[in-house]
Amino acid sequence: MSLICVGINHELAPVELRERLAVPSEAVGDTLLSMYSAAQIGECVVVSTCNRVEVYAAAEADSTIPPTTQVIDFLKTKFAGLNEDALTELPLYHHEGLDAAKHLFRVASGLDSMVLGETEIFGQVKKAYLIAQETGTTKGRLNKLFQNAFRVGKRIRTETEIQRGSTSVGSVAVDLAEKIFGGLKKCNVLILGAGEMSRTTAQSLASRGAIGIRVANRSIERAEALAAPLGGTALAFDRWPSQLPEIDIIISSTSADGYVVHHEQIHGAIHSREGRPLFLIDIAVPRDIDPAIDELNNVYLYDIDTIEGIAAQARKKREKQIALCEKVITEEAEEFIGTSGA
Amino acid sequence: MEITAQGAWWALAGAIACFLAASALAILEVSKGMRYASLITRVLMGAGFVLETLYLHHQGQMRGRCPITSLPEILVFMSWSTVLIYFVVGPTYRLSLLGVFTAPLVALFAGLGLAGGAVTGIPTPPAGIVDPWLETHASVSLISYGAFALAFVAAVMFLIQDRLLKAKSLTPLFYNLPPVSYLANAVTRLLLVGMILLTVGIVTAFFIHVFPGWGKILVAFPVWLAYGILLVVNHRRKLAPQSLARATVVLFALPLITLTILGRR
Repeated sequence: MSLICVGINHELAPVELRERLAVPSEAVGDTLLSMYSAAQIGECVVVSTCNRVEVYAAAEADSTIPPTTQVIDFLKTKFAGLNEDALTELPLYHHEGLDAAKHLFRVASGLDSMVLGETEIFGQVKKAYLIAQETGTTKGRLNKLFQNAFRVGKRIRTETEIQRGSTSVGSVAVDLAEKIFGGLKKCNVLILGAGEMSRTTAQSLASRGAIGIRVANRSIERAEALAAPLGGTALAFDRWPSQLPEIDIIISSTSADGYVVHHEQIHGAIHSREGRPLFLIDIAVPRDIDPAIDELNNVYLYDIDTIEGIAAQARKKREKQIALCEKVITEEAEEFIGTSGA
Repeated sequence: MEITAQGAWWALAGAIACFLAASALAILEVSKGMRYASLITRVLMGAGFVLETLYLHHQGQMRGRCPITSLPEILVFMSWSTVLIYFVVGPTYRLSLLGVFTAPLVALFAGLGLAGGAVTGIPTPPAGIVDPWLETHASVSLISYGAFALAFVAAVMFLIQDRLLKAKSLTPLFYNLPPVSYLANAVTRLLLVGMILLTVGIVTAFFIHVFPGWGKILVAFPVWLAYGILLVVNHRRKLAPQSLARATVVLFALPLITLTILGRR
């Protein structure tokens, strides 16, 4: 039985194309059954995320039509709704045998992700496999392949540093906040200005439980537009200092020329905070927050250069791990193929 | 259970080895940038605690009372108390690396005790009846010092993590140390535990049948007063955690000084 992988991902296709091929999780089971009966394949799993749609299949090697072609044809007809030219030029990749195994191991380990080493994909691959298992479209071959993929993913996580450190401004901010406050569930966040990076940073914090998001902007409408999707509240910009006794994290990204957060404002508010730390993230250029504030006890100020530097360092460290990860993956894939005979 | 003097010596030496191993392993793992698994530390600290208990059992049998009759014995008891507080109170805070930072301190106390001749081979029971109030006063007071020692450790960890955050130095140690908020809370609560225990220790002194004299009582009083003032000031003025941590580190000199005085009397 031959092992194949056919797919499309963020490297080859823009989001407009990927979203047309994506399969909602509630429809994966039906898709698997359709593919199972339409193509001459013995087993199949569909992995569909925002950055990829992939089909893993095991098929008889002596099929009249090559299994890879069958799966590609299925994808083109079932998901596309595109015109003939677009169908022909669909940027699908395909792997067989050892390469298919290696590809899955790379995907499960986060090596093929938009953010190198990200860990969310592991859970997504696991979920896709469980759906296929429940649907009954996996048997010995793919069961063994995916079990190995999960084991390789864990091995990569423990033996390498590919998943260490945070590689985006938002995730660095979350790491720092967690090292200051521990859990973020009781943290109140104030956003000054309405920049895109403020929004994504606040979103990262909110995803880890930060509550009470308040947005202060000179335009109350823009503040409301930013606050609403985050479940927060908007306030007039000149009212933000009154929030200091309750706020734990301030993210500032205004277009002001000078400082909008001054030393005296923070110094004056410290006693009302009853010993609670204050974390300030200055994403603006030129800076919004007076750097002298960092000298205050129990106040931690990080500007965009520092945060970007931390993220860049983490990205570099991850990249250095690629060779080690590829070595582990090749070794595991060769052992898998050797013992299962693809 | 009969333990020979030689057995007690090896038990104490083994305890010190366990504590040092706990630290050394953690330093090795953290320096490799790995997330440190605290289970290893807890196992080694637990083994060290059991071995110190065996030593204390032997000494208790030799002395016919709680083995805190000399400075070396007091130092070992102090080490044992600190580990006891670590196991009883420490898990509440789930502070990673707390054991790792505590281990060298308890190893130092136990090591100084062992080097100072903490093991006795000759039974020297006290003349007369052993007063349980005296035993309670002395042992509870020393256990309170264990809490102050752990507060000292948590304060040191806080100051390190605070410094790393201020310096923007996100090293492997930074990622393994607990959040500063957790450490600040732990310092306050450990100081409270120490104060409660020391208060009990001092109060029980007034129930001793044969009053030992004001000397030994007054030795503990400055410690009680100093930590008490710190806690009251912190409560009323909401000290910055950095100030509380620095004061906790400095104040720990007081229990250490009183230990040397107690050991001589």
